[in-house]
Amino acid sequence: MLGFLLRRALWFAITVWIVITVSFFLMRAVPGGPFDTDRAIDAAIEKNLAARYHLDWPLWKQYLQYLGPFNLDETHGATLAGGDGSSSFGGVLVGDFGPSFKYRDFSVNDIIAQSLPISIALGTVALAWALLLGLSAGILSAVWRGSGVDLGLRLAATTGIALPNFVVALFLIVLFVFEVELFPVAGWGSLSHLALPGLALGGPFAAYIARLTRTGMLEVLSQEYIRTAHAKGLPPRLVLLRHAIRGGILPVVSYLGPATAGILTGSLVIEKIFAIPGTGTHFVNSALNRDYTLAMGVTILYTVLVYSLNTLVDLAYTVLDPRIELEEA
Amino acid sequence: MPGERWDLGGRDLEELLVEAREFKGESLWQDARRRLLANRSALVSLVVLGVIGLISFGAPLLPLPSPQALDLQLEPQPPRPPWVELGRGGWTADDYDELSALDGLMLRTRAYLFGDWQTGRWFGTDTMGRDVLARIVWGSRVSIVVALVATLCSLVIGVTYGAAAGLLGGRVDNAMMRLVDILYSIPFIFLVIFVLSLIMERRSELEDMGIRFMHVFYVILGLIYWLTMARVVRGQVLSLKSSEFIEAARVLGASTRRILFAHLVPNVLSIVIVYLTLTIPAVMLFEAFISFLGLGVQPPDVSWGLLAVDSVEAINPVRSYWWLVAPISCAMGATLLALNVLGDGLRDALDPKLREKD
Amino acid sequence: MGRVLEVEDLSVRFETRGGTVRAVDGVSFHVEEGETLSIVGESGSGKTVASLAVLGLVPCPPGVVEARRVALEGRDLLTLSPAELRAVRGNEVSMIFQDPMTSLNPLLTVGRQLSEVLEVHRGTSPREARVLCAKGLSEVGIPAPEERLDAYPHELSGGMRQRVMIAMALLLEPRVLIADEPTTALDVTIQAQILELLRKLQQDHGTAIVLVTHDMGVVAGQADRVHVMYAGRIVEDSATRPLFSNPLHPYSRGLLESVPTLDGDATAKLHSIPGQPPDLADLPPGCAFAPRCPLVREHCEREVPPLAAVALSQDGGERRSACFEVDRLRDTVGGEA
Repeated sequence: MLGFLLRRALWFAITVWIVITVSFFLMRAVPGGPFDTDRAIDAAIEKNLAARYHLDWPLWKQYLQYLGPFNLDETHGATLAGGDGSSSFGGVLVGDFGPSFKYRDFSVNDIIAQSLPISIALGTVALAWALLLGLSAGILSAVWRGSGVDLGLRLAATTGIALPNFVVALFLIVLFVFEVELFPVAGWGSLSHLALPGLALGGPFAAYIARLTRTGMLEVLSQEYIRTAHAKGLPPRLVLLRHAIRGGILPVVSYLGPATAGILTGSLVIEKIFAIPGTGTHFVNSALNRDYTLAMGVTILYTVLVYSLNTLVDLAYTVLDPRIELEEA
Repeated sequence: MPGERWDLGGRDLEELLVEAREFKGESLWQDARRRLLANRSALVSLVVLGVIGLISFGAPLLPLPSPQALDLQLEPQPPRPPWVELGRGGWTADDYDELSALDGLMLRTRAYLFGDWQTGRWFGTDTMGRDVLARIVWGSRVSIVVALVATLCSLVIGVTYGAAAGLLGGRVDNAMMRLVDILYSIPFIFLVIFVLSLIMERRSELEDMGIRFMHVFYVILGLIYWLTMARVVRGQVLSLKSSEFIEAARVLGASTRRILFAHLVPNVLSIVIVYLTLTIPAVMLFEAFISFLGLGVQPPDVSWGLLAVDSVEAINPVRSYWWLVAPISCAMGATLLALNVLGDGLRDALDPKLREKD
Repeated sequence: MGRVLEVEDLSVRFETRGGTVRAVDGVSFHVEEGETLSIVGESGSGKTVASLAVLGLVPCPPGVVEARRVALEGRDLLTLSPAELRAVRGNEVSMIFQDPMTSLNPLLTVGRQLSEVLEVHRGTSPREARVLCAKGLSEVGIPAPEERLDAYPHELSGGMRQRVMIAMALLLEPRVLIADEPTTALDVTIQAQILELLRKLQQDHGTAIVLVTHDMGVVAGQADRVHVMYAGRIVEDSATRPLFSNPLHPYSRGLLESVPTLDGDATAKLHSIPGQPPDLADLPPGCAFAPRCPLVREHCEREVPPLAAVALSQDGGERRSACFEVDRLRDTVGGEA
């Protein structure tokens, strides 16, 4: 267990380092600074800006500066974690992503702190929808295999996988906002603002989970130990709950990692459609506006999130399936 | 002795040998074709995809309005079905930019065949007065090309990488797969968006160097999707390498090259084809996704992703232009659905082990 | 001694896309207290399906089960409601299966799987169930039973797992134990131990055992009576000893001749029955064994031979065989003996 976690931590460190390094140098490899598109700035101001963001430094120094809490700034004196925007910021290793290039009054950390809870709430609602719809559809489909219910659910699932989430979002908006007027159109504020985007975001994943669950359940239901359970005289409900479901949803558990990553990605589009001020919206804007530090910050943050969630999922898997040894993972 | 009669079941050896000769095993592909042909939904999908492909390829031949002809005075016009207005005149070949030689030829053929006649507003027009049907048909070309090229990129990289890892084995394999694991745990799409936005900035400079943004776009999409392909191919190669029939071939003295091309390639090919058909819809979705964010296909080019953006903008509480939403959603949904169903069908046909239980 | 389990005219068919598969066709058998009845046949002969059908464990659809009577101590199981039938399963009649690797749930501990039998049928409290389960495990010869209760199936050897299965089946002292190929998946030495265990438990509790197997060796050591099944029908019914000395159906003889023996000529070819078992969806009109039979006559291919009593001079006891040519068979075998 401890060995597993240590090994995971090691690979985690390597992964994050690669992401930081690759994105940093990619960003700097492209000629031109972040302020090129601004209205004509005179040379003096531009020089000041460059100096403030250390763009006048050699590349290796900028990299070290970005990476960690290193004391490289001779003019301002050393501070470990970036306090006021003008001094050197702490560096990614202490969780400081530096100042935003576009929103000059905010640090990347401020922006993330504001928007991440919104995105996480949206993601959680989406995942909850996906699991709720996917698992129940998959189990029903497997138990009533071959029936009309099964056929209908499978058709819905195949369609759900095929449709882009923004198309799902459009239909939901037309249906529940304009036709039935059940939910507010867009924006952010209450839980009802999240229900619809969550459904649109979680829909395709629900479809995939339904398929995984159905296959997994059918696999388990054809196992001999299910026959044993019936032969022992257990009522069908108990056979399903105690013996079948646990094994049947194992594939879904290992899918949760990729699903979370997918939901984080999908939220870029969904946040844009529903005008939700989440991290995804900021990321898209930052990518379009060349707000390097913000874009990199979000990328790194999401790498960390996805990696940690994957590790959690692996841990959960070993709890559910005693045959899996952690050391092998 | 009664025992002797049991041996051959009372038949002589000749008879059994003849029977054995007549009993031919089906090859993997014959078997797969038979299974695919028996799968009705996969067949329907194949036909649907064939029709979509033909329409898309032959778009310049069809008497559609130009997808780029603007008519700025107009509000989006609702559809007028063919029985209300079948067609009208007024088409010119001028409203097209940058056509390939083949497309130009097709366009001239069309002009010869239909003159200036064009179809009416069967599916309505968009906010700039452009014909929705024409845009969907022309948009399919970009989407399909993006999907095919990017899938091909992922195919080349993934198969090479996976086969190399599987064949080399041992420590090299270990290291190569570790790298894939690392890449897997990176939320790639964020990096891709990031990179695309950087490239986008330098679009004109790149074009001066003779590199079209669209080409870079294809390759970058291909770069994301090779990971799964590499894993699958490597797994297949590894399991084949240690499988008994390869062992048998080796014992019988088959050369390495023969083992590679007569035994490994056909067996890996089947799984590659399956993942190919499942990658194409994923790439199409991703193109739509990226174009949606404004980082993919750029106007005046039109793709399904861009049309989806239009449709999102067409939805507002005051007035929703449903004809900007429904046709593109249906076109996209139908294509992706058909691809997925065909992919599932191929998987069932080619690899019974992976078969989803029915 | 009374008949504990009595099955009359049991038929099971599966409606599939490829046609109707008659897995079991008019089979009758019974087993008495303390007795072991063996049902023997090749794979696909319907023996497993028949045993599953007794407890209503054949999945329906696609299966269709029909029988005149399936009586447990005079009570007709066919007329029971699903809940009443469940009360019989694992309680009065229990089953053990072929592969102990797959017939235990890999995700639950042994203790959990054992105790749920008590929980469902007796409503035993968890603490009490634990004690009873440990006792059950020690009875089937599992050392340190208390510790084993917390083990998962994959942590036990194949033989241990089959012992767990047996303990589970015998926990409530059933009247009848249906054992479907209980030793097929095990090593030979373990096989002997498990069979020995079954014999001992049968003596202690007077359980009637229906032993389904394809292994004539197991039959010889365990069974009191034998039913030979072929293509869904019983083709021979005999006490064990006479069957081995004088099989009265060409198929039984084929089965016996395919068993290797030590005293035979080691260089001699091992006999096998030529041909394949018939397609159950497309049975020949006459005797199902006719295409593989060395004694076949024209008449066998037209009519199904009934399972009829055969008078025997030497061995005595009632024997039945479903073969028109049984007299010729007796001559050849008699000549050999």
